[in-house]
Amino acid sequence: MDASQLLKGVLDLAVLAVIDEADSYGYDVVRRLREAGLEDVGDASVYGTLRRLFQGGKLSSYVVPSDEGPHRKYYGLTASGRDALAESTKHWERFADTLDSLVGLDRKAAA
Amino acid sequence: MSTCTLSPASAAYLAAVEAELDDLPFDVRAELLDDLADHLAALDEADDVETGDLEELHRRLGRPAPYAAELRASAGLPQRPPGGAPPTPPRPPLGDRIVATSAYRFVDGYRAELRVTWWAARAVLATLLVAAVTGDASLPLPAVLGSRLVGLVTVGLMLWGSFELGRRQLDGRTNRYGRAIAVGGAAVAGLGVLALGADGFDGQAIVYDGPAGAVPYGMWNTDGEPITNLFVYDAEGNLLHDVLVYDQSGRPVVLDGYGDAVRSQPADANGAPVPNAYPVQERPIEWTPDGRAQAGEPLPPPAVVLPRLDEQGARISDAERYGVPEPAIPVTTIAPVTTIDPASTTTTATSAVAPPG
Repeated sequence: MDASQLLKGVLDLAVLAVIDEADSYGYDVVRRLREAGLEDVGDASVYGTLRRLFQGGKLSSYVVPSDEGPHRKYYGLTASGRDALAESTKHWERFADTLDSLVGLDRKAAA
Repeated sequence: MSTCTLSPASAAYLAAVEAELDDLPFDVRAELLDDLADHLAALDEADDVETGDLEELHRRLGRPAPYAAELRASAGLPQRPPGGAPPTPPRPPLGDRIVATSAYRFVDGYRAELRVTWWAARAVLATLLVAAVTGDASLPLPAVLGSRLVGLVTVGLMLWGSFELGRRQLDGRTNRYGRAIAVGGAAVAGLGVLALGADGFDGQAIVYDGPAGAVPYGMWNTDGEPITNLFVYDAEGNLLHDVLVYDQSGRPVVLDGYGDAVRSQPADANGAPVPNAYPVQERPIEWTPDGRAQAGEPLPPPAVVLPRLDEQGARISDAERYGVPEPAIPVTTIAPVTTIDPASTTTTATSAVAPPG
């Protein structure tokens, strides 16, 4: 199964979860998602998602000067973003439970 | 948004993606490309990434066209039309062009700092306005209700309120009352600036206004040398003593001695020195061999060449010359008085004349 197709539906949730853990900038979000195991996540997908969430009021942004390189645009969750994260997490739990059940039923049937 | 230096390969990749986004509105394209530029700069700096090679960038990020397509899809933007951008894209609005300038990008890089500075400034201005109404609006700590302690507490409360309001605005948590407070606060702060500015201007106006105001102090020649004394001669070439000098606004003209001479000023009938009576006796400060200061001999009047005045001009009355029917009424009577000599215990009587009455 192509993991990138699965990711498309849950990338918002993954990005919100990463930023909920700590405010972060684009490059760092990509890095943290990959370190968490989402190795197939595309750079462009993350940046597009960040922009869309920001435009939708789920994220705020601020610039942090960096001595080592360009200034970094950090993103943080807004109240709306936290609400969206909580709501998406509930949906994901139900969805995952449903799939677990389906997979489990299939497995039992196979056995 | 930030400015950064890219490797040639990264710059080429950025340009290629830009070409793929050329149908998007100017500001949207600028935002997407800024993010990509920052990302490429971070890749350039990462030790484990070799981005000098364009092929390596393609391997990591994908080719520019798929990258741009993926970016559009995830950002919720329309895909590029088959024909690409319109042949003659409309000129972006002025606002978009300003946003695209390097100056805007530089300032925008400090948006967070500017925002926080504004929050603090509006709190201080609001406090100053309250202090101006109720007490003393002087800096650094204004007195509110006559108390600097209350002023300190007020500054603290204003700062807390301003930052809380700012954070709510930032998070999109303000309701219409919060927005009204923000707009009203900005208006009040603006009025406060104007009011404080007007106060300062009025203060200066009071200082220099009218003949009874403060005395102008000090004059300089055009070459920057201070004028320390005035010598007035009549039409016959006689040096006048105890001449009272006023400027065009009727303010006494007072000169400074700049501390290099002992100045003996004519005094009025009560013994008080008259600061605008000239010439002043000046005695240079000299140093004795044992290191003590003492007043030297009085400086003589300067050697001057007096022009011969037109005799007809000397006969012109004040009424003709100045348009006033009566001579000025004297308010000060100068008596033969002592001169003040701080460096010596002796006093010297100088010739003094009463002004015409």
